[in-house]
Amino acid sequence: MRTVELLRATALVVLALASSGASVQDGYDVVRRGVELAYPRDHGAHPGHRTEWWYVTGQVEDASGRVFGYQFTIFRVAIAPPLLATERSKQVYAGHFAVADVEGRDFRVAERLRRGGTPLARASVEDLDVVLEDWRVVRAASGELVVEAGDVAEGIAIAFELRPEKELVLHGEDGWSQKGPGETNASAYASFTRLASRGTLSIDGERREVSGTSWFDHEYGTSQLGEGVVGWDWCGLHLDDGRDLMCYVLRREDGTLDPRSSGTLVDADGAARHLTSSDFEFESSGTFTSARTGATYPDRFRIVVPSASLDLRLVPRLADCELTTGASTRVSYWEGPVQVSGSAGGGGYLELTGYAGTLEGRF
Amino acid sequence: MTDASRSAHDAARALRDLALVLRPVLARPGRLVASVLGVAVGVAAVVSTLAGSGAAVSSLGEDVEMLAGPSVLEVRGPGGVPTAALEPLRPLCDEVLLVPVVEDTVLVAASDRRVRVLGLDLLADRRLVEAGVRTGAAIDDAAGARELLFGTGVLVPSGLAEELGAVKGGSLELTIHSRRSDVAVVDVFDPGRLASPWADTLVADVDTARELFDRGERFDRVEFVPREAATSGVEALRERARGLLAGTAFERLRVEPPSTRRAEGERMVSALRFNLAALSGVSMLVGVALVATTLATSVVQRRERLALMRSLGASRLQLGLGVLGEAATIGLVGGAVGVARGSIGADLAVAGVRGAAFSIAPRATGTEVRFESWWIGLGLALGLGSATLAALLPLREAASVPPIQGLRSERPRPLRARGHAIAWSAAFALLAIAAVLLQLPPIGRRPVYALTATVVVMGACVATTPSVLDAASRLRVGGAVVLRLAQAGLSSSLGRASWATGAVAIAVGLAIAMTTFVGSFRRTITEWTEDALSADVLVRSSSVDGMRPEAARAIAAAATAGDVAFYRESPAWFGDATIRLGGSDFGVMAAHSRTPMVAGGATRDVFARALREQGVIVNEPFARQFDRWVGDDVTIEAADGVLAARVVGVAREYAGQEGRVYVDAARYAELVPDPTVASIALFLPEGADAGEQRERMARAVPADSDAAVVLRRELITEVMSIFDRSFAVTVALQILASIAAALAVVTVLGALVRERRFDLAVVRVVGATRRQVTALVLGEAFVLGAVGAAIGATMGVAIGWILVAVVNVQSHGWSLSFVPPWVALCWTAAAVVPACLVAGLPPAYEATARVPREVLRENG
Repeated sequence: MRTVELLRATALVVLALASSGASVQDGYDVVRRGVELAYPRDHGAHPGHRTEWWYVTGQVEDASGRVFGYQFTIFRVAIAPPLLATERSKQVYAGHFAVADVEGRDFRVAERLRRGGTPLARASVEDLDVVLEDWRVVRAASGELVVEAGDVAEGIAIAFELRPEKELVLHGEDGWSQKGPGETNASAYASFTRLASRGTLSIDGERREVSGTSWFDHEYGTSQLGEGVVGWDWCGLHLDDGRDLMCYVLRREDGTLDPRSSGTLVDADGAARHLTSSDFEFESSGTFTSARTGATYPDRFRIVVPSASLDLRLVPRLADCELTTGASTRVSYWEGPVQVSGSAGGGGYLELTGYAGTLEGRF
Repeated sequence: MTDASRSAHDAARALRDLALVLRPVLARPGRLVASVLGVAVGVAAVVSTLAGSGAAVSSLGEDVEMLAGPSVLEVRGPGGVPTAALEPLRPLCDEVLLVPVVEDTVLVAASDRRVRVLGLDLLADRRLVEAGVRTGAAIDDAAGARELLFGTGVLVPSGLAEELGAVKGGSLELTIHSRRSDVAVVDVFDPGRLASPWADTLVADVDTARELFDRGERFDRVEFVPREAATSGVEALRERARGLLAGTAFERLRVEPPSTRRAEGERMVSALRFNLAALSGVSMLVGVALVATTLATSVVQRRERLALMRSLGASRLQLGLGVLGEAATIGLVGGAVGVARGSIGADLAVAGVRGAAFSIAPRATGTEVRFESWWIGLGLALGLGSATLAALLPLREAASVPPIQGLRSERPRPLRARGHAIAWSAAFALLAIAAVLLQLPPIGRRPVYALTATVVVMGACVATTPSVLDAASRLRVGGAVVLRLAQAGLSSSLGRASWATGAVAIAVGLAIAMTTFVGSFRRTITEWTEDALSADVLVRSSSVDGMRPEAARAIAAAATAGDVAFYRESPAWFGDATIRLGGSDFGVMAAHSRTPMVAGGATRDVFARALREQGVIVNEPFARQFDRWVGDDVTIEAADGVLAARVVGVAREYAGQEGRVYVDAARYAELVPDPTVASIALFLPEGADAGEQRERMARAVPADSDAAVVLRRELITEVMSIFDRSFAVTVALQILASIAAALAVVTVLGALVRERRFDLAVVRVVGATRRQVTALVLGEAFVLGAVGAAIGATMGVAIGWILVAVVNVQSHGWSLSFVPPWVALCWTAAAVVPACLVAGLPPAYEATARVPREVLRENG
């Protein structure tokens, strides 16, 4: 008999239950082509779908010009489909919160994990209001998003108000974002791509007034990734000319890119254009090897969108932005602020998954 | 001489010295065994009682902190913590993990074993890991985790699994709220250390536990587990939590360290343990008397040798050290034997104590008795202490032995008038002290002063023994020469005879005191149950958890005659104290109840007034503990609100020593959301067939329910049976005390015979037959026994009265009728004297076994 850390083992199993195709039961809702998204209702949770997340990333700076990146994510996972759900909540919530101090070369991560059904982990089904313990993202009556997160042990905290500068963007075909071969291998995906951000950021008790630009993603679905997909490279960029670019490539086991890789280019006036995999190139090079996990990530990127005359180069502002989330989702990935140069300058956030173990079958 | 050889020389010398000290002890192995047994009996009684009572109620206090693990504070409220209360507490999550917990006990259907169920948030809580609990790989599999987190799976500790026959993948049938429920055994875990509280705990997910125990939208408590490197201290955290709750609907919740819960549990059982320990401690007194007589006998037997040693230059100090050496040896060996016997007896004590403990704490699980290393220290300390105490008088006697020349002229010294005056003055002074002590209030619920008064009364009675014995030895009751010789014999050894009489008196006194107490208690309970249990048919769950409302309604609906009243009960707070809040239909009670009232008037008037004025009825323990009587106002915090009402009646109650406040069912429902029904009472009209109604209701009991339908008479019989079981331990103590007293008589008479062997030989030489000498010795035994029984009877009645009228009221809050034990007195008197006569047989044999001329030659 061996010692098992119950917490971690259970968390692993819960996430595995939720994500493994083998243990999924019929009865979950799925996202189909022609999904009709209505807001503010669809900012809220969709407990009938297996997975869902609310994602906020951004770069802010204090009065002295010191730059910080931050990532705040709450995942919702349904353990059982709604038809089987009894009174007891079958929802589990996990959270990741990271702050990157670019000048201080410091990267800190906090996690949360809770089952739903109590005020400590809940999500409204009517509007954006998601709570995970002391963390929260909520849409205020003014339309601003309020993000609050903190962790005493890690010494980090944020309290931001995010004002959308552009209308909500629906990715893919009116929000239907196909990621696999079937119609239902898809998520419903929407973003506020440019949010004017202000608030306070604290590190080790030192509180700073900061401002900057953030990106909000909300995505839900049941069975998204196609067979053979081991991870993805994703970015959400704010270009200095007012345009915003989201694109991701789904990497396959054999080294090729899945044709369902896609993106969205949002003009300065908020007009959005869906990009298919043939509309852009996403190249990666260089290496960064994590001392924690031994995983090797690329650290140089080039994105070309010929139809928009974009040839961008992305460089991480901080090399080590790897999250190891042993106490929640048990996934290790790289997510951090990047600087954009090339045909346009700017900044944004980059996410690299599947380099420290495959994500196949998990989403 | 080398260092090594010097050390060996020193060691050998030390051994020789030790052998010298022990030689007189070892020379009389019979006496040694008797003395050791005397101490051992007392120590065993104390150890077994402490261990037994501890095991019976261990779940209430001792495990709290171990199970609480890393949590530093917890939020609690009467009736639990509403789920919604987590909302205002949410900001605390930046520095602590908020861990909701549900904790209760269940009855394992197959084994009748009550075990704890601890419902934890298995997704977020780390305490299992930090407690060193080792669990198998089962939860690595998806089905196990699903069952654990979202089904009805439990983790079972390995020892318990073996005992219950539970295997991984199997199931356990539990009885909860009178309904049988199957839970899946997801895994069997190794609880780590021996005696870990996890070893008696089924671990379930908090939501599983919430469903099993019908907690609805409530947890029992929410614990605060600091995250790593949390900054603020516990007190700051507490203030922060209080601040967050202030002004919300949950501001009545309390934020306290887990130790508070432990303290509550300890408070609940401490009075019981104290009383039991005091009771068993009394048996130590008998042991002390026995050792004292044994050591004194040893001194008496060796008076000539001691005198010779004095003549040869031995100092008083050296002689005294010899006696102390004997005492220490007896004490230590007796203590060790007592611990061994006590640890065996503890298992038996648990059964006796559990009944009493159960009335105080129905949710106490009770555990197996496990040997604790501190018992050894306690046992040895008690043994050594009592033996040393007992050595004081013999020490004085040994030190006062004159050199051999002086011994020649020593003569028996009868008690003079001054001696009588001193004895009675001491007795009255002690009685005065006892009277003062009885006026003092208890400390907490511990009747320390009253119990001290019982010891003082005991001392007062013992103080009179020389005087009474001397008077008895002078009494001329007829012409029987043998009896006169016996009286003269006792008169010539008044000191030793007084000790033996005192020992007998203590034994008799204890027996009669316990009989008085138990008899009074039993009579009161008998009368009370006849009145209080006035329902003709009663339904209650075989487990103590109560019945689910739907089952209760179905059973009640089956009755075709009479009036039905549901009784519900839940924990509540009165100030800082935990009490029970009960609710029943006062309308029905006003029509039918006969529950005796201590104050407030006739029972039915009290219920009617309570209904009319929205008042409450409190039980006697509540009234006494908090000094709230008719006309006083009380404020009770319940799960869903605060009850502020006036007391309109005080009900006599012996079902438990917890304070209870009763309200009408309608008000209760507003205050407590838990619909669980504790019992159903059916009051039938005159002439109705209770048996038929019982059959109807029994048939309506759902198949998965363990609810039992009983007739009033059956319930009364059961109550009395529980009562008798609860007091079985006192019977055991009576027996132990009596054994010790008998040993005292044997030892003392043996010593007296040996001391007067010359006199007895002279009697033989001048013509007395063996039968006459035997009769002489037995006559002495008779006088000892009769005087001891007389003094003991007086002592017993006095102590019995103190136990009934003072100790019991202070400790339990129950007033009992004092029933003098006339029958028991007669039986005791009839039994003690023959017992003493039997105890006199071995010394009588010793007196007649030797040829008189040899004895005379020996003594010159």
